[in-house]
Amino acid sequence: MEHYVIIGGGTAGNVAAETLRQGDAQARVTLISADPTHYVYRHRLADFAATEESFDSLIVHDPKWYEDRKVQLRLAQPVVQVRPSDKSILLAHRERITYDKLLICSGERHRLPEYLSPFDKFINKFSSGRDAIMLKARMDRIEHVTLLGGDSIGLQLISALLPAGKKVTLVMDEYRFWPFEFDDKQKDRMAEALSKKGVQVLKDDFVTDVQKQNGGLLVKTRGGARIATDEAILCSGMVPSLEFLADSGIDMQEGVLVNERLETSAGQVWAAGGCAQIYHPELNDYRCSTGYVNALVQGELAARNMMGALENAPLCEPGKFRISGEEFTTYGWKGFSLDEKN
Amino acid sequence: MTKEKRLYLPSESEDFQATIRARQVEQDVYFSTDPRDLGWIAENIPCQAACPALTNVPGYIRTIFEERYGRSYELNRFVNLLPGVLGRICSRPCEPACRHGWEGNGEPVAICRLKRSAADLKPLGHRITEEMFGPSGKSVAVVGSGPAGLGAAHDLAILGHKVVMFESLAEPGGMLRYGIPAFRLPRDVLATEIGNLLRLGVDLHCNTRVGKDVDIEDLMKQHDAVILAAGTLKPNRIKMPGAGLPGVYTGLEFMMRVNAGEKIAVGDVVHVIGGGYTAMDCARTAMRLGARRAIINVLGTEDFLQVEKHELFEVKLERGEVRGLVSIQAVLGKDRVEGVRFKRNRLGGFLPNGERDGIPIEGSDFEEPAGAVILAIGQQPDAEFIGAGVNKSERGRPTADPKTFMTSRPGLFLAGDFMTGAATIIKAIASGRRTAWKADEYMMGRQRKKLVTRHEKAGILRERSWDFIARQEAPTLKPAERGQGDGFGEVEQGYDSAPAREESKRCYLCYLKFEIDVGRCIYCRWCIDVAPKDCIKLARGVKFKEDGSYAGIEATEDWREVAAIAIDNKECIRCGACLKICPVQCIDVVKVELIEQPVAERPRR
Repeated sequence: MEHYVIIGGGTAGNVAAETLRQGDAQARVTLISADPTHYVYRHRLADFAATEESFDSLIVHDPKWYEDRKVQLRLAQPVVQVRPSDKSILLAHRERITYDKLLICSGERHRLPEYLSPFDKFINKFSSGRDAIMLKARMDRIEHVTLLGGDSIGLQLISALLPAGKKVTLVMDEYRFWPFEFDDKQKDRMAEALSKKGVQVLKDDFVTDVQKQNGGLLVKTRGGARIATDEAILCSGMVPSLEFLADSGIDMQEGVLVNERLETSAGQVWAAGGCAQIYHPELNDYRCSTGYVNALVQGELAARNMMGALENAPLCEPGKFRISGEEFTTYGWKGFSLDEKN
Repeated sequence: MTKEKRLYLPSESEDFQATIRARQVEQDVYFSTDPRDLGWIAENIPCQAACPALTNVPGYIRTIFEERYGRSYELNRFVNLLPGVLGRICSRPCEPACRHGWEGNGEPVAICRLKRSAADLKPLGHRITEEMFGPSGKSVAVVGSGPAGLGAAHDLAILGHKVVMFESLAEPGGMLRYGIPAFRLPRDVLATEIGNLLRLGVDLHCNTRVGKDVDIEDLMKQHDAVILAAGTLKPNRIKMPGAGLPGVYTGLEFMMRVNAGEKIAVGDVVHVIGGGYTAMDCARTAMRLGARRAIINVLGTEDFLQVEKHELFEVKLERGEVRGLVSIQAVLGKDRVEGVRFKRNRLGGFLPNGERDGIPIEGSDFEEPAGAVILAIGQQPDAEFIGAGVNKSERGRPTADPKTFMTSRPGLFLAGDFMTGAATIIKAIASGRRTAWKADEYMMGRQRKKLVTRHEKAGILRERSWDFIARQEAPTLKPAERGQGDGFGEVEQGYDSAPAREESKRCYLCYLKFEIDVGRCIYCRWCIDVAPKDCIKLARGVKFKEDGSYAGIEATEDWREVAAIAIDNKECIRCGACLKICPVQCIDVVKVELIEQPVAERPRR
């Protein structure tokens, strides 16, 4: 009886667990998540934070779902080490688990650019269910939110905060709408589209200081802007969380390097979703497989490959963001429109 | 020494028995050249063993705790000569080795920053101690005034020789002055510490290139020995289209020109090729010269670069970028650099330097704009001036005997990067000093300095609670402050006395040797009960290496086999809990330090 172990309780991990169970009724399937909360719809977190929506409505699978499928779910149990040499992983509470086949889909966490790191304690993050719950608790006291960077989560926050009557400022990253590099035309087009929506946009500038002021924050930029704001939220993209793989010997760069079949450099170890980095000849570049669509497709595909298939992961169809009538291509997301709500 | 202690004896040799007899004399201090004692230091003081100069790290950290900064500075200077410089820019091989950083023990001690503290906090005009030898009547030429040349010149001057030093550039210091930017190493610190060496009577000739202004044959005739410490001034290059365009620099050339005061126009985007310390310095310097983006491009991945994580962080904090898995293919432009063409790489195997290789992917070419391209891919010795008569390697580098550092030509020695290829500052200083000792031996016909271990009775010098002190962070200029003035003000600020003392408490003081006297031990095992680590063991015996030095304990769980209860000094964190609990006080603590001593004269017969 094979023991499949999945690290990561997000979309890719859950889809993989279901696929494995469907393909192998006898196998042991263990799903390990560092997160204390159940698997939630992450793309709805911004709306949850800004509206009356309950957290329970975000939960995708209740405990019974796992019970019915005989998937052993372990929540709040961070993995601290992976040892492909003896096919084992170590949990933070020092329990060692052995596997026959391992799938890493540990997802991503917020990316804090080093130049913002001195102000880390003043900048809030928005990448997990916990972050969303905390933001919701503060929402009544917030009138003005300043977003730092530029990514899909930032756009989701904008789409939730504007209808809630919040003032939004975006200090736009000079070069990137994560993970893409901007060219000047795209940057100007997006800045203009967001301005039309009522977002105050600062472009070609960057933050040089964040400090406390009058119960809120004062954000200063190189260009001389001084933004008095209630809240500064990081939206500079997401990066894979791979610290637990540091001494595993598995090849990594930004993410876990995998081939087209999502195999890592270690035998019997696959990676899928946001933590998996693939070279795409179509893009002539590496990409970490960010976003819900990638997680869905790759979670299922990795599971099938773990059971013996030899399928290649496709480059997902790009999605579209629509802002003030302008369309912007995204990658790994289905896309959405800011125009529908506002 | 009691009979039972013979458990620890590897042999019954006369020599060893003589050592034991010597130690039986109740002394507070004794010295030893026994390989077992030298081996104990290599095995049990990991920071010191990792330091190419064998710096007495626990010694200088303890004196910082005692607020004897001048003494701490001297303990450094005895062996590494430039503590203020190294406290800022050393590659810190000691810190990854530090026992405090071992699994379960926390983070390594900030050894390098403490070195800087000793330099920064020592009283003005503190006393420098040099153990001078009388004039020898011999004369030595040292070619190059970088760290290796300075190391050699210092020790030769101490040993009583006349030293004449030749430097091709305008000021002494070599890479220290021309390779490292002032925002990492302020020039006044460098000048003071070089001055301390030159004050010993070294005759320095700057703007004098050997091979052009002075003939090496003349030097060989005029001096009893010649030491070549000319560094690595020949940059590695990549053969590719556009490599000769204006705006393409080698890392060394770029840093040398900026450090000589030139304001190079680098344009908006600078691409640095290579992932070593020079590449980091070039990127940070380019940002200070007005580049909006400085991108460091490496073949493999960032994780395997052989630079400290702290350096990478500083680059990124200043908005520099590091991009992995790319290979440069061509520099683009008509009259000067306009862009770069790259290929994406797949991750390859390990390179000899520990980095990962990158294998270009066919058809993955892409182009990016560039105002300047800096090739920081290393450099090698420029040995053309040596001429014939000296054995050289296949790559044309002069070679030296690995034990004497003398070339095939008697009296001609090599030191530092010129001998080994580009290495680190601390390795170069250590190499310069070692070559000086060998040149001295060659000229004087006998060895005059040696390494010995100094053993002194000690007690518990630490408190267990100190093990839980967090590593003290050193303040740095805020990113927004770094562009002020000429933009080259020192970024990292040193510790004040309070954090320095707090950090000094974190050192386990691995030079303390805890040993159970089997003759007095009553096998109560209380020490094992209170030990915070698996550091006290029931021992069946002790393992020794071929040279007789200690290799570890043969532990046993079977009480019938137990010959002793023994402390494993490799696991021991010197907390003293065992000593405090021991009902019969059978645990001895001895401070073991490595020192340099003059070799006693042979009696005349």
